[in-house]
Amino acid sequence: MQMTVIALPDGTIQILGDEGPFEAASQATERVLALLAEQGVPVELVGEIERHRADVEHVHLQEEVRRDQ
Amino acid sequence: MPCNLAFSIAKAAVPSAQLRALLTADAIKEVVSVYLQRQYAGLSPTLLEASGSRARYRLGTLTLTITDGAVKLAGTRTGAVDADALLTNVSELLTQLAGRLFQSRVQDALAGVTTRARMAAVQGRNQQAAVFTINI
Repeated sequence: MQMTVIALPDGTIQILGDEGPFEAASQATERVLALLAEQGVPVELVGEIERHRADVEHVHLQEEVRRDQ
Repeated sequence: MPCNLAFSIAKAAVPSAQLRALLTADAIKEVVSVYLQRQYAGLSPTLLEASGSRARYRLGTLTLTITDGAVKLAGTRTGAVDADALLTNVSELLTQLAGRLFQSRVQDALAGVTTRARMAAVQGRNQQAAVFTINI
């Protein structure tokens, strides 16, 4: 399943399920959290995995810039 | 990513202690040294010690110590430098560095499932987000 992970410099991340249904996206989110923990990034879920609605606060991204890899 | 394509949203955070733990002496010594050399060249900054979670620098009559990301200044304040500004500037540098290190750790952790990685400005915040499209 395709997901988008947004890592912010304040130590928070947002995990967006790009595809439905919600239950599958929710399970994929749990897999992302488990993968991060396995790899030594111990992020803790803040609140619940939510269905996307206009009133769910989350970051919006502006222009993209190049990332050195 | 246009948010109208998102089906689910989850927020997570790394504990602040874990974020500070990224600021090891090895991770910070070069960045801080370059910063001090550029900004405070007149004080001839010198790295005295870098081990574990602690790095120590001499700047003129001052000693700057960074332990677990916390910055302290000791010594005689001569007026050659605004010591409070120095503390603030180095603290801000470390905060930025911790953020970049965190984003790099996430990038490394997701490397096996990432199909696209990029940086993007966050609307309404003076922040750069590391954005990863993954298949999982």
